[in-house]
Amino acid sequence: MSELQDRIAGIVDRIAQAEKKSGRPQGATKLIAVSKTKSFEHIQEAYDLGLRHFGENYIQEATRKIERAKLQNLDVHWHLIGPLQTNKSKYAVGRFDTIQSVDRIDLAKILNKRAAEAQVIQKIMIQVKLGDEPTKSGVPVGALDVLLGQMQGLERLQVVGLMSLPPLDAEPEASRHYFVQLRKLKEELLKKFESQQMKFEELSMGTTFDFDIAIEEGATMIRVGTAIFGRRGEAR
Amino acid sequence: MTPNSSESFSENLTLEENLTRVVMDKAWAAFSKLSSRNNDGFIVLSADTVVCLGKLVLGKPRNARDAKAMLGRLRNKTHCVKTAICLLNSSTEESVIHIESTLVKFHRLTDAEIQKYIDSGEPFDKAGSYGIQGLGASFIKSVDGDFLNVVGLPLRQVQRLLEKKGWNVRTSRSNRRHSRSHRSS
Repeated sequence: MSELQDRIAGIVDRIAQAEKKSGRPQGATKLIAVSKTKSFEHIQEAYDLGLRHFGENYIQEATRKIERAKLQNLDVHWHLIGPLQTNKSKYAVGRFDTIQSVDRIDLAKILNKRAAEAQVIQKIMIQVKLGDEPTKSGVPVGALDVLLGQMQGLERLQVVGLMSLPPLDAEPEASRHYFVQLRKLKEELLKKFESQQMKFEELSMGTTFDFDIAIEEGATMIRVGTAIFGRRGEAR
Repeated sequence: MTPNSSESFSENLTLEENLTRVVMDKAWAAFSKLSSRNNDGFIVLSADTVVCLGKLVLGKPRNARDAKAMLGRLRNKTHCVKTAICLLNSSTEESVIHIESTLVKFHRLTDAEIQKYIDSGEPFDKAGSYGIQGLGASFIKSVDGDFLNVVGLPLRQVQRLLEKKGWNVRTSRSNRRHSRSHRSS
């Protein structure tokens, strides 16, 4: 067994246990491998071991990988999980299966325009800011209704769910109340905004450190980098 | 005085996110240019430096007034110099990013000293309006961390990352491609 195979098996096992513990159906959680800064060969290797969802942060880097995966007919679902600048939106639309980091109306509008030009329906998620995060990304909870209201009529966008990256705590259990909060938000938003365009089926939350808890609280997508590829990437 | 250092910095991102983004952009831009005319493998090194004083982020001064204001703020205080570096390996297209921080304490400076320094012309292409490797050296009371990071490239970290990745770099010019900015913003 390769090191990577070992690590992936360990994660798949953790996912299954968390699903079982919370009475959710097996396979309810999509494992997104955070592959930013990793080589295409890393992705290929993980793909060969069964992973199908990959998360990227940087447009130029991701574009190269997406093209290569296409050339090799790999059945990869690409997720943009890092902040997107409006001037790069045209490179993201149609390439990523889901753009998870939409957090403001100007970005939503330009994505809608680009999707119309490319004649595609672009799946997006709303990134929500929970707690005092070090990041500026994400729409504050109090501004969600306004944003979604403004997004009515952006017909080329399909809002598939919510994404969040709550502040990390040394203790994984500390994340639980954020995950609960995001799940409740999703339920509220469904009541208010559900339509063909806004479905809110997905909850993208939980990383290497706390994904078990995220799954217990209803995550349908978890974003795992370190636990899959190791600490070789961003050396902070 | 520009509150935000770089014209390409986004107000939607944190400083670290902006720095990371800028060096990734630079590295990939250089990669695209170089890969079309290089069959051999190469490694791109990009870097970007800013000076932080509390929540203020200082880039290059736009003019003498700007430089004067920046140096006036820095005197008799400790600021942080942050350099982001990105190494991109053309063979695997794998990259690695690091942000190095160094604390620098300035002496008390008189207005006359600042004016004299500005008249030398040195501040204008430098983040924070000073060069530690030049006449600006006399402003420095102490440095806590990597001195070369303040110059604009933390070489020790570059070497550490190369070793960690197992990327061997021969030092002949043909095998080394640098795309970097010198204390730019």
